[in-house]
Amino acid sequence: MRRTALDFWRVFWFLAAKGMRERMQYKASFLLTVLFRTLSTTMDFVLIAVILARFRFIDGWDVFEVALLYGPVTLARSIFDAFARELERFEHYLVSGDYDGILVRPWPTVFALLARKVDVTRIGMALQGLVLIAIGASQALPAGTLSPAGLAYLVLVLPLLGAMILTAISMATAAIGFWVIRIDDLYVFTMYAPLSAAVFPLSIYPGWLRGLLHTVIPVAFAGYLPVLFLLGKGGSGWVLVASPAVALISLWLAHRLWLTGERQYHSTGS
Amino acid sequence: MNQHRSAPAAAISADRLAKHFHIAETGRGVTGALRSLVSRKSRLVRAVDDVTFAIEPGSFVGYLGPNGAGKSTTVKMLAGIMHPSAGEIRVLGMSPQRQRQAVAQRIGVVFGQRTQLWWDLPLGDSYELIAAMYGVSPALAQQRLRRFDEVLEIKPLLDQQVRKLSLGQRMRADLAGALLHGPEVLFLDEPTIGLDVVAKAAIREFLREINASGVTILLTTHDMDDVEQLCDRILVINHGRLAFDGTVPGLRTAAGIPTTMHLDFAADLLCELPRLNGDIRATRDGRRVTVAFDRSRVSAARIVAAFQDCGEVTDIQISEPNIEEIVRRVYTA
Repeated sequence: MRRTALDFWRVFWFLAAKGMRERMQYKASFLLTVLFRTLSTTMDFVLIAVILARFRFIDGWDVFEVALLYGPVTLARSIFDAFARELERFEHYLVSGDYDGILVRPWPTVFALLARKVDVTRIGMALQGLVLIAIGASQALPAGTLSPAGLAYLVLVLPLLGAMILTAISMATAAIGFWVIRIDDLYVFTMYAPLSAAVFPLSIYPGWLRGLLHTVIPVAFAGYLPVLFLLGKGGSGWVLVASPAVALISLWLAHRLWLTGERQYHSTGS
Repeated sequence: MNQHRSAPAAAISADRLAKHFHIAETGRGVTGALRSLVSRKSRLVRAVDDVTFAIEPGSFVGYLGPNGAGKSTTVKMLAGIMHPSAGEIRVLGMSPQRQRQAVAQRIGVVFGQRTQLWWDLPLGDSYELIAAMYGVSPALAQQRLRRFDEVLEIKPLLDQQVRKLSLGQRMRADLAGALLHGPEVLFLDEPTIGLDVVAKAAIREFLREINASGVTILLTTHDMDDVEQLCDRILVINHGRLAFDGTVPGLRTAAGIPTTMHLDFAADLLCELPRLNGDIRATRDGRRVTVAFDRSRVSAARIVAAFQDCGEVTDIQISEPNIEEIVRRVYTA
């Protein structure tokens, strides 16, 4: 069965619109959710800013530079959360057997799974990511440490790559569930901890952890490495090409793992 | 293709189909659970074991068996949800595993226990989404929903959130959802489970209509009424193997489809047990008489009437034929 990319987008946006309309029905609750989500990530950054105000630098990065790292990663996360959140709930699909319903749809299973829920309230976090980038750029642009082209890469390209890498990590973690079922706790190691780590310059971590974040869980390519180069702090221009390559390869590998796992799927229940 | 054969190709076929599970042995208590973490000891369960059948287009087939007999596992393999351990499946000439998406486009699947509709959205939105997913134009979807509404009465539910529907409403809604894209084959897993008599009747009427319009239906059920009223063929599975393949009258001849009636009398019986036909058996236990009979041959009223001289009846209970009993009879017959 041939489906065009257009078919995918049509169905996906249809879902996004439905999801948004449903959320909007409870206007107060919708706004509060967006507000709380924005506040909670802002608090995270304020905390870092306070620490930076005390120590001035984290491994040679000042608060504005950290904002330029924090911003794109936050954007990536908001895109991922809005569209690919269902992967994180995959244990539920395995335990309840709801995955059966995904397999009987005439679509690739990952797509049909993501299409179960598109949560636009997560976009609130994107706004905050943009604000962080703006704050960072307000210093870096006049100082000449960041070029306008570099800024465009940070705002337009890097968040997408980050979202792809996060989706790949999440998909691989979920795929492991085909064998072990219980994966909710695994996410702490594969997603949440690496995400928290990725908003700081990775040079502060011990070598083994840094190695892990450059390879198995390649969040380094979603922020640290490209930003390091764009701010003229080191690395080569190749990283701007390597990042998309890493994003695509990790998505491909994760999907291979997914398809292999799917053959193991033992539907539960009657 | 063999040009000389004019028989239509099967809509669904299974050839030596098998599904084996390795179930980890878990010992008792905490030590047992801990031991199971390190030991690789497992037990092989043959959920489906060497099952072969072919179903002609347009049939209405009942797939029966006791709990854990392998019914759901078979249906899940036929629908492309699980991969068989061995054997070959064809649905509309394709493999549901290797050509999952192409098969999915042309089949409908309903699980009685859980919905495939969007839990948080109004029912109407679910239908819009399904139409979009299967490439059904809004006009055609509307036209089909109007037709389904005549029997299923889903129109009043369209604005309600799926989570707020009652079980019976949800089942009707799910059926309409599974047929919205005009599938040629419909798999139903316990579609009447937990429903009241009225809801069951509506669903059966609907299924009859759908089948009459040419849709091949495979139904798993516990409910012998579903089978007697709907199916033109029955497959009985037990311990993963086919135990019977035939028609409802065929099953009746082979094993009988017994209904059990309990009659409670106010006082000790004033008469001997009345003489009844050979295939009706009555037993007495104090003031209670238990009669096993075949409802298609003799009515419940006739049975009660046969006891009219025996005293005042205080209570009558009728239990429907149950599949466990029928399967037992298939083996002992």
